[in-house]
Amino acid sequence: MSGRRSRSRQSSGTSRISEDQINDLIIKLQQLLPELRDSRRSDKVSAARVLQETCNYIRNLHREVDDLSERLSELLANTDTAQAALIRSLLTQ
Amino acid sequence: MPLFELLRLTKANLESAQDKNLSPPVEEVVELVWENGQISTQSQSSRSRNIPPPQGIHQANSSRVREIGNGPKTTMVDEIPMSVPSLMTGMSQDDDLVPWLNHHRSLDGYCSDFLQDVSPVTVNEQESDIAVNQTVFPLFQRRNSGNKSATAASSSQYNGFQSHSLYGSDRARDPASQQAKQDRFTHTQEPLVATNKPGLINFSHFLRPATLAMPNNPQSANEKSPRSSPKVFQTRVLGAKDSVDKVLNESVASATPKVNQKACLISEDSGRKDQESEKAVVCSSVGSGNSPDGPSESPLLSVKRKHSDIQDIDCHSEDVEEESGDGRKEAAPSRTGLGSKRSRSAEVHNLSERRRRDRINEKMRSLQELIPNCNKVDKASMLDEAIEYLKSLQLQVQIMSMASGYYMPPVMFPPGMGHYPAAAAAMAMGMGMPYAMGLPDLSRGGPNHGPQFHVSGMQQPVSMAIPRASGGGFFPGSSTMDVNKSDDGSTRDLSSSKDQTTTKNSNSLKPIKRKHASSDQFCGSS
Repeated sequence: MSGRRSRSRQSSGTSRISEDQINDLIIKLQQLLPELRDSRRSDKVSAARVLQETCNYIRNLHREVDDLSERLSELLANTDTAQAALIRSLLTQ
Repeated sequence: MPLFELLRLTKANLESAQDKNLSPPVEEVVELVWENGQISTQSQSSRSRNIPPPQGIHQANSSRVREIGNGPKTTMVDEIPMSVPSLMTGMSQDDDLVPWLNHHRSLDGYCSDFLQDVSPVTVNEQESDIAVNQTVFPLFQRRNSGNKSATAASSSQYNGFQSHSLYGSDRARDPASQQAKQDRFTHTQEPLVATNKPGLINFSHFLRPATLAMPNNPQSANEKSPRSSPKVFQTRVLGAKDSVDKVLNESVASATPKVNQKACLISEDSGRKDQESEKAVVCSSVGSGNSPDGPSESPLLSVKRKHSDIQDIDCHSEDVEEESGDGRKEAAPSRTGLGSKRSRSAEVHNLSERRRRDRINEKMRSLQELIPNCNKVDKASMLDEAIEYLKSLQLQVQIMSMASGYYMPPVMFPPGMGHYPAAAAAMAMGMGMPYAMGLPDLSRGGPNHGPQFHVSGMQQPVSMAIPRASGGGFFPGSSTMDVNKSDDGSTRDLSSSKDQTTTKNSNSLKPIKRKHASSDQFCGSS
């Protein structure tokens, strides 16, 4: 038991630097999230929450990108049909 | 009086002989017996005199102990005549002490295994005074010393003694307050909780004589009231149930400001104590029949539990880890029989910590699934990737929304600026455009990105068609976006190659699905 404990403590000691790095990255990530951007350092958000929000945000962005690409392709397709038809007719002539 | 002493003495010797403890000096035994014969509080004074100053966390406890002890010490001489009438109560208590002691002997096996290990240490440390107690109250000593580390033995033993000597007023509630105190001051004293439980059952024998002695006790307490004894002690002597509860709550409340640094530790301890004190409640209600005490303790427990929960949430996990680690290290050498309990609590704590880490890791995994081409094992680089990808996604969405917002049929646009949004939209959607283009309008809409993009991979529409799948970046070289300032050339290019663009769009935009864009879409119908 104690051996396990000391080992874990050792590992925690060595991983302390990367722990700090990760904390910094989490804070950076938090700044990118509109949900959590407003909550400054005064109230600390847990890392799990930040990660969860990041996942949600990325999913939202994916959905948004999908919607937008759909819409843009629709728009471009609709506007281009006339010209495309014209050009096609010209080409086929 | 001498008869009484003799009785006690013989009993004490009997006990000591049975326990193979040190045979004490007789005069010390007499002194203690006399004290016990008078009033139980006097034994406290003698004890508090001899308690070595506890270290560190025990400090507050010892100071209070001293406060308690000083009062009786000074008034002790004056009350010697008083002790004569109160001897009757002492006699009655003593009569009950016999079954109690005998009853307790059956419990010796409970901690006899601890006794062999630790009791020599405590005897050495606490000198002859404890030797006296071992003879007169061998069970106190045994139970306490058996479960305590050598350093904690002094104060914790005192607590145990105090509770035992005061159980006349409210013995069933005492363990709760003792738990509160002990948990506050030292994390090595939880064993006392466990040891109090058998005490509770046995002290039930004392319930009746104690209530009989109550009329005497308030008098002595009132006489002693000018002394600066803390509330806890007084309320205990007076036996006011409500005030005891209040004191308990106070002790819980005062625990937070006093021991802020050790708050994590406390929460850990209280969390552990919850299990044990639940048992204690059961014991008190069953053993002493004081069923009202059960409810009186349970709100306290709930308060503590809440407190511990809050602490769990608020505490930095690293701090908790460190604290528990230190506590474990302190505990490891001195404790033998208690290792299981402490390790159990530490395991509980480790469990919560592990749960937290698991939660984070799980989120990390799901995040990794959301990020394309992220094969990083390292957490830090994973997060780096996530940040970059998030930025690129934001940029992409910004451009696309802007483009779709701006996009109108080209004929409706004023001549100068008609095609930029179209080009931007096409670019945002990953349409390959065989020319470099300037997008001056973008600088107005999106302050975050560079005003103009020169996309290096434009000649390869396929790589552009899947912005999200192409390595996480919107553009292959999104971090080093080239700014193309050649507005004239780009506009000229745009206008001159408008037909080309539109044909390409018409061919390739219809089937566009972010993920499925492939090269054959571009060599399709033209």
